[in-house]
Amino acid sequence: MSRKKSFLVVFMLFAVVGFLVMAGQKDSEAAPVRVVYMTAGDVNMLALGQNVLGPEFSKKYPGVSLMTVHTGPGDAGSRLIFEKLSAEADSKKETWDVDVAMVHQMFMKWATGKDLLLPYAKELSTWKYITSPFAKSSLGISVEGFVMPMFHSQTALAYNPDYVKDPPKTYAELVEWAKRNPRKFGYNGIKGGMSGVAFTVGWVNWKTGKYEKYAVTGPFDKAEIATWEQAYKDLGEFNKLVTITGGNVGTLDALNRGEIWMGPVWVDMFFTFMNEGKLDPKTRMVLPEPGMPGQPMYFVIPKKATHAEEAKKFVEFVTSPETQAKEIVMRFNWYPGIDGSHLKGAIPPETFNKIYKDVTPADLSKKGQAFPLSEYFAAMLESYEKWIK
Amino acid sequence: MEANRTRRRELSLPPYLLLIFPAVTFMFLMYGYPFLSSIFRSFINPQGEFSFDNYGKTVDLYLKDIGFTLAVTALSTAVSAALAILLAVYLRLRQNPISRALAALYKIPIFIPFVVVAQMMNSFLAPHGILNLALAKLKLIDLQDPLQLFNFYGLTFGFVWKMIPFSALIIHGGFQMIDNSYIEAARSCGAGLVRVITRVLVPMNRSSILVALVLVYSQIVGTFTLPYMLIGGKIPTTITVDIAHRINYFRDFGVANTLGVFSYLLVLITAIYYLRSSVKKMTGYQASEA
Amino acid sequence: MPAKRIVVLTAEIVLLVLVFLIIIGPMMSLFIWSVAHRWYWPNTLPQEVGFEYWKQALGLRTSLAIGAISIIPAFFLSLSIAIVVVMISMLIAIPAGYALAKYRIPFGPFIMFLFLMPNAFPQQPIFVNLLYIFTRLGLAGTVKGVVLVHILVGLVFGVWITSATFRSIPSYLEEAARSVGAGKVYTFFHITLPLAAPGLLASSVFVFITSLDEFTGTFFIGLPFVNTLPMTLYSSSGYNMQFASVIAIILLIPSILFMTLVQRVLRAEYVGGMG
Repeated sequence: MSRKKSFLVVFMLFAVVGFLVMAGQKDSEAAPVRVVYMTAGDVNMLALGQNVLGPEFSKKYPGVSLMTVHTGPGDAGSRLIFEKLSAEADSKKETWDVDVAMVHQMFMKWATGKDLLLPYAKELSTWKYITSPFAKSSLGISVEGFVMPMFHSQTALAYNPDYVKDPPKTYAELVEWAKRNPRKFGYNGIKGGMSGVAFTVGWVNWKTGKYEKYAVTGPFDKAEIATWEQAYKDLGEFNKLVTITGGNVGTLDALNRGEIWMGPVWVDMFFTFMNEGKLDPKTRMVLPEPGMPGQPMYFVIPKKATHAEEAKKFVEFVTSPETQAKEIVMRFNWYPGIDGSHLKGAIPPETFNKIYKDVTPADLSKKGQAFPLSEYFAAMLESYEKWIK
Repeated sequence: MEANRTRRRELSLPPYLLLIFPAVTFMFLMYGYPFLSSIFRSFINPQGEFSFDNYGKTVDLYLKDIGFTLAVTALSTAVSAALAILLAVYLRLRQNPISRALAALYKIPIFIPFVVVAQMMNSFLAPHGILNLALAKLKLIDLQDPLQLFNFYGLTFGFVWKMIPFSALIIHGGFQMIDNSYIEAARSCGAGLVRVITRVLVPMNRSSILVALVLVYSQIVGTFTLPYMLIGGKIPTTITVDIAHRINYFRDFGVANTLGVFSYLLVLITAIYYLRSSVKKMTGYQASEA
Repeated sequence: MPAKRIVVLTAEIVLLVLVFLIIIGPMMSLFIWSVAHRWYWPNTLPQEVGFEYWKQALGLRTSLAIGAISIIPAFFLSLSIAIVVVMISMLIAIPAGYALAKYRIPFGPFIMFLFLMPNAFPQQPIFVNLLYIFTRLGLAGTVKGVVLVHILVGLVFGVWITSATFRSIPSYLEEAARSVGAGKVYTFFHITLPLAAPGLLASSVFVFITSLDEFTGTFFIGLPFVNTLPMTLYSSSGYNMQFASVIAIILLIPSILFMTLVQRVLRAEYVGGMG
């Protein structure tokens, strides 16, 4: 009996401590102005926010602190941010929890017409550095003024140069290569990661030759979908020659373990994995013709953010040439969100050569595609499910 | 006398009402509305009208996946239950240093969340993962043609790995309540091991085994992380992966909720079996009281 | 030693080794990754090992190079939430389990199934709906909201296992006590409860683990202010294997401690009860 009682006492103590800790949690909210920054994307974004952007930002604006929250990788992360903002709009709260968020392009499609965002971009001093069309239009939807690109990412084919002596330079050459090396190319289909989606979109663009219409000019013409049948049937045949991986990381892992010798990857993930010792430094990349899509990640500010002014200062801070050069390009080896010409001189040549070695700025401008207009995009995803069993 | 006591228990409504009130009310409040809302949404098509469109689309695109989910779940549950019973029997009947070591060892997977199990299995079962590398070192397979486990088999292995300890813990707990005298009595009547298992241990422990079965089955149906990491975009995949895909890429709650309803029906199958035998047991219980 | 004994003993040892390999094998990847600094093909083992990720996770060092952050606050939050969840859940589950076991409740089996539903029905669509409701109630992003969600998913273990436990206690024991004049409440606390202790404690262990490991609901409801350990794990899973492995190992510790603590008490109780 006494042992049981002592156990109960210990348990109670635990619970009391637990309550105190939880109560303590609430108190810490009453700090100086705290900007809540929700970011989708890689976990590096969390570390970046907490360890670098937060302290630097506070140094510049004393009395303001940054709280970084990570919602998960991929579009699922952006999805959660959308649901959160949508729920807050629905509840008719006066001020919302989230002050600034970083999202994928898909988010902008969901957010149109829902009046969730603040048109803040043109008020910033860094707006003049943005020249890319991505800042004005996302998947065919006009987003001008609502977004600032934080960085840009591109997909390309990563390959192991020990086994791939003469990498394919076009999609057509890739198909031939896959025939000669069955199971050595890997991608994740369209579920589980955007690298596979990008590859599929690039495939459709190649087979139909109608990239301009699907991604830039439009308009959306339902009749186009039926013309894709042969392209997808060919892709189904191609799938028989390749390995299907689990997702973005699945492809990189398989490359890492030598199970596949080539696969589509996001350039930023490629460099991150390499820096973290998870990818052999000798791995290379190639951007096949006619091209593969890429996308930026955007800063958005919710309409009723509690600290909208501080949020704007934060975005201005991250899109300034100094931060873009130091953090985005040099630390992470990502492509900047602002126009690269503004960073010249700030980036040492070694970094420049490292990032642009395999995929040069010329490659990017010629073969870096945008993802298609949202209706075409949705149709492409559904067609995959329909025609490839 | 006994009959009076039974009747009195049946008539005395307040005691059990009060006892179950908090738990049941909590469930209705927290879960009832979102759940009904989900089912309701499965009948709303993209135009906002009430229709069966979503069901048609789901069957068209995902019937194979639904079948796949059912197969993996049923197989994993059956294998887990069978092996768990054997393990629990072993632990019940033997008391030596080896069985004690086993008792400590087998519980470990219980503490590992599915998200972590997914990670581990991804690294362990990969074509060039730890398992294949080890087998290659032992010259049992050739690394050029390794075991392909990112499929039905690997998924079943992952589920079984996590679920056997869970079931064994529950079933063993039930076995422990069976007094040694029953086993000795059976033994002294000349019953062999198999008879002891099938005629004494398992029947006396019906409720625990049934609980384990249903809990395991429903956990497997609802799991997302393990199939996502092992199978991900391949065809076929599980219902949970498809739901995530529908929500994340299309914000298509119609089809997502429809898939959910199918998943719910899958669980309902076992549930009905469980409920029927529970009711039978209840009436049997009452009968033995009277 | 008779031959049969030797065969049985060998079989037991083989079984032990097999189980050991099957359980520890997959876990090896966890341990290896948690100390791997560089690991890529064709090495079977990492090229470079160290405790860098551990130091980052425990807040002993802060650097950006490896994308890891301190997990101490998340760890303690998860722990305290789990403890509160266990207390509240068991408080409402034990009476419910007892009632469902001992009384013939109309729709009893249906009620049992009710508790199963949060785990049976895929969670994403439900929790999205719950997010909207909680936001309206001001519960989104609060610890209270997260506790409620954890109880929701943990209650099934609380009710089902306790009810199975109570059901296996032969009623003649209780009736024997009653027939010598013991009151209902006294019987419950001095006869039924001690006998049911192993099952009840097992049940609370499961609720604890469920809360500690709960992810989907916490993710939807808790953001942005409530950050539990599984959420940090999800953030880094796949992308940052090393960090994810460190978190996974740390997640194991409270659960195993809880379990050992419970087993210690159990053994004492068992001995006490039998005697």
